[in-house]
Amino acid sequence: MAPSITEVLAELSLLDRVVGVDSFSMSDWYLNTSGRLRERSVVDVGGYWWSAIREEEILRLNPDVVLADSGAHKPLQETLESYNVTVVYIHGASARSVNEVLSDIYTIGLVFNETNKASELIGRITSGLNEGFKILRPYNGRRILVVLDFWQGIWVAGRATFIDDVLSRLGLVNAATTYGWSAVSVETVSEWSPDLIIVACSYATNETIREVGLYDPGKPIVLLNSTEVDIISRPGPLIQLVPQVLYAAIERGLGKPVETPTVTTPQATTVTIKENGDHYDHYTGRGSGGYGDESSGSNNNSCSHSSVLYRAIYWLSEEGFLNSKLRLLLVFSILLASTTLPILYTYIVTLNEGLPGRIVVYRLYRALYTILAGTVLAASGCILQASLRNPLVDHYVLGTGSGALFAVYATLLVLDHVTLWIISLAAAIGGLSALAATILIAESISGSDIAYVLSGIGVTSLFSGLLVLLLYYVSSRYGLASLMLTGTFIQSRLENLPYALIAVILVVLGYVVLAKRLNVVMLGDDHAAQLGVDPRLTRLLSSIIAGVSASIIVSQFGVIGFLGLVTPHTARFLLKTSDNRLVIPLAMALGSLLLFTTDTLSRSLVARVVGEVPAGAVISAIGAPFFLVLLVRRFRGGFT
Amino acid sequence: MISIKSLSVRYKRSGVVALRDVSIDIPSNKVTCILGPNASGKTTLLKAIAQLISYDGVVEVNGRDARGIISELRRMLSYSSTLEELDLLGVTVLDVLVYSRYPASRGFFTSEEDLRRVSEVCERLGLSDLVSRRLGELSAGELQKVVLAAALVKDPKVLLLDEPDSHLDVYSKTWLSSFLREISSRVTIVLSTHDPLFASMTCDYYIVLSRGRVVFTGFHDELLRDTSLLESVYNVSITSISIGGLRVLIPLNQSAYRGKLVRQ
Repeated sequence: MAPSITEVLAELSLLDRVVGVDSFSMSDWYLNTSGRLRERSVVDVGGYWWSAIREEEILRLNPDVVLADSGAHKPLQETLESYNVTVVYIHGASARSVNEVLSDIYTIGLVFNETNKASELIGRITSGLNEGFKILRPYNGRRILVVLDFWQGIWVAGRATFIDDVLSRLGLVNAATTYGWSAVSVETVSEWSPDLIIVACSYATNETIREVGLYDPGKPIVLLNSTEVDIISRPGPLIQLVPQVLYAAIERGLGKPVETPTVTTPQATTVTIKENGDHYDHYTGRGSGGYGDESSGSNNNSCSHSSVLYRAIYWLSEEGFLNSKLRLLLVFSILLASTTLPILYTYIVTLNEGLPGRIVVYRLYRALYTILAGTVLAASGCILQASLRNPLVDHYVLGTGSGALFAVYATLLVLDHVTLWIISLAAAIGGLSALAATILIAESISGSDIAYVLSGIGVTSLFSGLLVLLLYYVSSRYGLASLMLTGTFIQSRLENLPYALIAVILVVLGYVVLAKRLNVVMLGDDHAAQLGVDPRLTRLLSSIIAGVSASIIVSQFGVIGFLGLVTPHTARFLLKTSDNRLVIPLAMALGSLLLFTTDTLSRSLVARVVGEVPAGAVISAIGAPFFLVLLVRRFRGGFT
Repeated sequence: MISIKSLSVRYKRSGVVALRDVSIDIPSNKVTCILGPNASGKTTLLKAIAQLISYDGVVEVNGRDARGIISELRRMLSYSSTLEELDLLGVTVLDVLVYSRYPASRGFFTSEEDLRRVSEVCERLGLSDLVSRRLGELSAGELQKVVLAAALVKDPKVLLLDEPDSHLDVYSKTWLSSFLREISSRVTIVLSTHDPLFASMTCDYYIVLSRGRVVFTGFHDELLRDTSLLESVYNVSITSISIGGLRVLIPLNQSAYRGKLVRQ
C-alpha cells in the first residue's frame, strides 16, 4: 500500500501476485507498473494515507498478506487483524535511511520466498549508489538543500530522512540541519547557505518559488520534473536512479564539473564555488554562534530599554503625576522608540553578520511589518474594547479575523487572477460583515459583554469551519494560502507595504478622531449623549476603522489572535488609567514590541530546532491564557 | 428659564405613551422636584429636557427652542443618571471626571484648566481621596457622589438629576440636600426622586406626574398644604409635619399609623 512497496514488487517480478494496491501505485510509471496492474484489473484500495484507504475493499479481496507502511498505516492494524488479515509492516514510504529501504526489500523477499532476487536487487542498489558516488565525485562536499513542498513554509528534508542518507552516501552534504521533514523560512535557508537548492515538488513553478522568496538568498535553484520528483522522494528501488537525477540537477544548477559560467544565476554561482570552503567554516563556527547572540541580544535590548521607561511611568502615576505632560511625553517617546529601535537594531545586527544584501532587505521588511501589524492590531483592540464597552474583545474574538480570511480564500477560489488590492478589499468586506454579524447577534441576545464573546465564538466557528472547507480547494491552487491561518511574517515583501501603511494610517486617524470620544462613550450612552458625543455614530466609526484595519492586516499576514486583547489591558495596567488618548499609543508600542520579539525569537531560535513557527501561533499561546484570566476576573470580581 | 409646551413622548418600540401634553415652566435658580410613582414619566421628562429622546412639542431654554441650540445646550446642561461600572477597563474616578469635561474641554489632551476644575469639584464633594480608585471598587453611595461630580465638572447652568438620592444613607442624603440648596443660587436644578421626605427637605418647586400627565405644579407651601393629592397619586397615607420651621412630607404605613392612633 505505497508506491515504493509496489516498485519493489515489480523489481522482484512479483506483480502477478498483487490483488490490490494504493491509488498512487495505480499511476506508477516505473517498469510500466500501472499498465501491468490495470491489465490484470488490480483493485485500487485508496490511499496512500491510512484515512484514505478503503478497508472494506481490502477485506473483500481477502489477501494472504498485506504489505503496509509502518508510518502511514499503523491505525489500520487492529481492524485488519480482527478480520484475520495478515499485515506485514515495513518501513515503506516512511523509510528514514537507505538501510531501511534495503531491509524492506529483504523482508519482502522473505515473505514471498524470493530472497535470492531480493539480495540481487539490494546488491544492484548498493553498487548503483557506489557508482553514483564516483560519478558525483566532482561535486563532492557540495551543500545541497532538497525542498519538497511549500505548504505553510518551505519544507525541507533534514537530518534522519532517507534523502539525507542518500546525499551523504553520494558524497554530498545536506545543507538542512533540522531534524526530519520540517518547514522553515527563507531566512533559515539563506543561513544554511546551500550551494544548490533542488525543488522536488511536482506543483511548484518559478512563480511559486518567487512567492515564497526562495530566490532571495541568491542561490542557484533547480526545479525537478514530476518523474524526477518521484525518483528523489520515493524510498524504494528508484534510489538506483537518484545519482543520475542529482547529477543532472547539479549540472544544471552549478554547471559542468569544470568551471564554466552557469545559466541560472551566474554571479551567485561563481562566488559560491570559489568560497565554498570558507562558507562552510563560517557557518559551523562563527556564523551560528553569532546568530545565537543576536536572538538573546534582541531580548535583552528591547526589554531592558522599555522596562526602565515603564517603571518610570509606573512611578510617575503613583507619585501623582497623573495626566501630566511628562507622562504624555513618556508614552509617545516609548511609542517612537518601540517602532524605530527594532528596525535599527535588526539592521545593525544583520549587517554585522555579513549576510547578503537581499537578506538584509528581507529582515528589514520583516521587522517593519511585525511593527506595523503590532501597532494596528493593538490599536484596533483598544478601539473595539472602548467603543463596545467590553474588556473581553479584540478583532479575533469578535470573528473579524476569520471573516476576513474567509473572504480572502473565497476570492482566491472564485477569481482566476487576483491582486493584493482585491484581496485586501475582500478581506475588509468579509471582516466587517463578520463584525456586524457578531454585534447584531450579541445585541439581540442581551448586549452584555459575555453575549459579545459568545456571539463572537459562534461567528468565528462558522467562518473557521468554512475556512477549513475552502482551504482544501484553495491550497491545491495556492500552496501559500494555508500560511495565513495563523499569522506569520515568513513572507515579507515590498508589495505588502502599501496595505500595511493604509491600515496604520486608518488607526492613526481613528486615534485622532475617536480617542477623546471613546473615553466618553465608555461611561455609558446617555452620559455620552448629554456631553454631546453621539454614542452610536462613535461605535459605528470605531467598528469600521478597527474592523477594516485589522482585516487588511489579516489579508496580508494572516490571523494573529489575542494581541489586540492583551496589549490594551497591559497598557491600562501600566498607566493606571483608561484614558484612550494614552492607552492607545502605549498599547501600539507594546503590540509592536511583542510581535517583533515573538517573530524574531521564532525566526532565530525556534527555527533552528523545529523549523519556523508562525508568530501568530506563539501570540495566541500567550494571549489565550490571558483571555481566560480576564474571564475569571470578570465573573469573580464585583463588577456587574 | 426652561419652559415646556405641550410635550408628548411616545416610545416607538413599545408604543407606550410616556408623557401626554405636558406644559410647565421651570423656575430659574431653584431646586425643582419631579414626583410621581414608578412609570409616571419622571425620567422621560428629564431626558426630553436634556434632548436625549425625540418628542412632540417644544422645550424652550432661555426663550429659544432647545433643538436649535444643541451644542450650546451640551455645554450648559448636565443630565446625570448612572455610570457604567467598567472595572476591567480600568476606569478610575479621575478618568470619569476628566472625560465628563468633554464639551468644555479644549484641545485633544487634558488641559490645565480641565484639571483645575476637576480638582475643585473633587474637593467640594470630598472625593479627593478616591480619585485614583476604579469605579468597580466604589460603594454605591460613593459612586452616586461621583455621578454628581461628573455632572458638575463642566460647570453647567442647568443640572438634571435622575434620582440623585438613591443608594444614599441618611447622612449622605442630608448632605446632598444642603449641597443642592447651596448651589441652587447659581444653577437651575431639576431632580426626580421617590422619597417625599428628601424632596420636601430639598426642593422649592414641585411637578407631580401620574401616568404621563401633570397633576400638580406649584411651590413648597402649595404642595404641602393639602397632602390628599399625593396620597391619591402614591396610594399611601402621607402627612406633613413641621420640624424647625421646615414643613416636610412623611409617608406612613396605613396600619401602623392607625395602630399608633389607637394606643394614644
